[in-house]
Amino acid sequence: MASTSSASAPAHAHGFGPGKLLLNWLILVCLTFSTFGVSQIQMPVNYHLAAAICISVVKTTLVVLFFMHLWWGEGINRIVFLTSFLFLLLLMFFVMADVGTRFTLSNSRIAPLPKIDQTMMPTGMPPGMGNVPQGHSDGPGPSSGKAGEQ
Amino acid sequence: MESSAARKMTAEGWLEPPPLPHHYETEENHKHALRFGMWLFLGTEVLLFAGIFVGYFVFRTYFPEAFEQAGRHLSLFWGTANTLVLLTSSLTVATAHYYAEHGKNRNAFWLLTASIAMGGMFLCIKGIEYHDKFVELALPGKFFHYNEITAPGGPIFYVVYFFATGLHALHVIVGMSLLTWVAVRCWRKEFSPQYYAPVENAGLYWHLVDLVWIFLYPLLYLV
Amino acid sequence: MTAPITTTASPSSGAAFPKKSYLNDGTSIRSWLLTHDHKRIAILYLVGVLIALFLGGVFAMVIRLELLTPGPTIIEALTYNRMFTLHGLVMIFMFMIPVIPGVFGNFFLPIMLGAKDVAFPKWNLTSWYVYMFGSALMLWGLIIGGADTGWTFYAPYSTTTTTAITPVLLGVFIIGFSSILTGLNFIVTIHTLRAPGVTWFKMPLFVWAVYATSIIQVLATPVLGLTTLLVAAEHTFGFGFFDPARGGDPILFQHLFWFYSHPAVYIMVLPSMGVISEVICAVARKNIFGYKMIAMSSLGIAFVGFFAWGHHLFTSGQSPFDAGAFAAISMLVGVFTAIKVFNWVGTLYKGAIAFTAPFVYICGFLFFLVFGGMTGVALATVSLDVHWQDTYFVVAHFHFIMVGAVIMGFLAALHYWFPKMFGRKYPENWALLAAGLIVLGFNATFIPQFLLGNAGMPRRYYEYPERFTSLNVASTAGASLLAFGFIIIAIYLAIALKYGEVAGRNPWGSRGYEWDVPSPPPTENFDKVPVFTRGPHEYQDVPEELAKVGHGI
Repeated sequence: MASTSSASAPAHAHGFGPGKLLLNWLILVCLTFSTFGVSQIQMPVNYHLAAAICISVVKTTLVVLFFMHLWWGEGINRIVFLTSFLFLLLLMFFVMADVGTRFTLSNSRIAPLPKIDQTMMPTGMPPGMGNVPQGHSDGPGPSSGKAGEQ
Repeated sequence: MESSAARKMTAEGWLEPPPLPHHYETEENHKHALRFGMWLFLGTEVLLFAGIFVGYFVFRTYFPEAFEQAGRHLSLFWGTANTLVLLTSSLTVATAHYYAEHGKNRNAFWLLTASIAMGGMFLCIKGIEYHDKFVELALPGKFFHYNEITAPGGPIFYVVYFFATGLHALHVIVGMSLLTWVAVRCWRKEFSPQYYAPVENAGLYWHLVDLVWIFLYPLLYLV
Repeated sequence: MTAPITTTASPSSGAAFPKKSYLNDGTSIRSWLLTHDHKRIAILYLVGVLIALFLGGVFAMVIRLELLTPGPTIIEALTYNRMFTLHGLVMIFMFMIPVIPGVFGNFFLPIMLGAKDVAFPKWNLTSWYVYMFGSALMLWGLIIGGADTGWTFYAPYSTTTTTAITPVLLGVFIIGFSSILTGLNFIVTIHTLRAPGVTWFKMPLFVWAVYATSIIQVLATPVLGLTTLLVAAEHTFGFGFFDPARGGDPILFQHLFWFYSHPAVYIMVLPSMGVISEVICAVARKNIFGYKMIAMSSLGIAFVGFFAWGHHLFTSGQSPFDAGAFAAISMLVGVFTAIKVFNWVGTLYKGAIAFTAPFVYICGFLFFLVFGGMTGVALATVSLDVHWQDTYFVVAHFHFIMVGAVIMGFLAALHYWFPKMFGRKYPENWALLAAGLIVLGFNATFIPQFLLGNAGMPRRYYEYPERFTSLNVASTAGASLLAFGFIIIAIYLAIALKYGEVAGRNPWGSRGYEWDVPSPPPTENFDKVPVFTRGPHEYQDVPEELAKVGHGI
């Protein structure tokens, strides 16, 4: 892999020269502008998130492989980097699974329970009849959805 | 850190490499160990930032509208500029590594200086953005008073924003310090085909700083 | 160029103390504080962890004394909260995490691999300074006002408490760095500095254990670092990341905290298991039973340990999906541990066992590991944990592992390797007495706590109902026995340092690689790169001289 000791500049076993590094940079800049471009397209926000992450992963791959020399690197270095990412995903997965399945009743994908106006009770009207204010919870939120109030 | 004072200048114009540490049998093994150690450290940095990314996604799930609104109110211009600045600095660092590996210390020096300057540029732009946030009172937690964000969860967005970019900026400062130290050693012509590990390792750290921003930029500014 | 090492055990009687060793290679304070020698750094760590063990023990005794009576006994409530916080923080971050890797890993890892030092000796020394500085900062924070949050500093209490939590958190952050540096160093050492002949499956099992531990240290500790920073930031600036009133999520804190802190318990227990693998072979004079299984199960524990953290959140409000997944996975760890226990017992079977102090500690270790482990599996059952969570049942469970397994392993290591590290033997009779006291005292301290927890006594409570008094008194009595045992050990080991009988190179007649070098070893460990011609833990084909020497005690 590495060159043996020699007095003059050795033949390089790995690494791009300045020209190819510049090309890598150009591709990365193009990808940056494409990220920006994709973000301007009208589509559901989850698609935006997915697209953004995909492009970021591609950019990361280019930086890691060619700027950080993993393309020519020892296998163990690749394993180290991949493993750290995998464990990031592990943390992400279980925490997001928790958040995603915790509030099964107030989850915005399921229709919220209708709110019953308790103040109607004393007049003898059955609950749920008459002027019942139609309040919804504003998407999932911890506690009573009063998050963010100052 | 090996002292350069004891090493003599060689005919090719760089200092002779430092002696092999006594517990390594070959230079190849030593180089591999240095690189491997640095990658392990980068692994720890990935996991350090992991938690704040998890926080981003958790609170995005709770407050999707606030995150979208707040993201739109960040300066897309400055954010994109910062991304390009960091990508270019990664290019200069990688090229500096190439030159150091070929013993062209002066070229490496100037490229590293450019990288450091771009790091400084990044911090200045970040400073401008932070200043704007302070003026608008778009601040985290109990300091939040920004009426443009109407959906609940505005303060939490700014907690994530300031913490993530702040931690990242700290790493930029550390990276700049490492690059400065290595640049000084380039000026002293310490690096050669036999010895360039400090440039490579400082470069790896800087590239990681760039990688974190590659993810932060779209998540905070674009989505 | 290379010389094969033979395994003749030197007879102890009449052995001469080596004139030059790592101990007297430079005697100034500077030569110790600026050393690059992994063995000296190990001794520096030993000093640090012994101070930590003493401090943590003092806080434990204060807790147990306070709990002698149902009402206030010797301290007030806030002080009590500070005491259990102190006890936890000091014991976990200053003692349990660094002890076996920092002391015995540092000392023996290079020797066991045939290396002259660890991969990055200067970073090794740095890790010790970082450890000392972080510890000092943490202790200072605890002195100037002290945290009262418990070592787990759950938000939102930790982010709103008026006690001085920020220096404590920063101290923990810094100590974490030390852990990362040590782990990083060991991983690179194992990959790059093995001598010729030491292939992966020729490495001693202690090395495998330290390898698995180091992987956990490198992957898990950064998340703790981030968590401490988040809590410190929220405490200082009122960010509201974990505060429901500001939109935050307290369960997020628990996820981030336990993502480190659960693998952390494997950082504590895996090296101890590695010690047992080493000592059990020497004590039974037998090859290890199932070398590959033990090696692989170390990695298995490290891996599965990362998938189990949610079992600390069963009653905190995480989703049932997560709870179920974490419960199932947590039980898997028991499989790997069981593999080890069966293999160790298989090693003892038909062995030629001498009843020495290390053997007593091995027995204690096996018994307590099995009990602690089984109660762990019981706690992983969600429906049972609903009743046991935050009671003394949990406290007893983890003390069975932490004290019962890890500290038994530590004491076994200390006694087994004392002759190698210091060139002198400890007095066996006193050691047996102390070991007996420790095992007895341990049982007397923590078995009542299982009963207390099952009866419903909550943990971290300053006062308790009258009906729990007798069990608490029993537990405190046991703790006193335990403390007494430790004091005896400290005294005879200190005396043996100077006045113990000269040990000679291999008083145990052990076939571990480290017993081939002199006791204590020279600074360079080896004159030339060693070539190991035998496997680790190989007691078959024992040369005649070895058979004659016996156990050497």
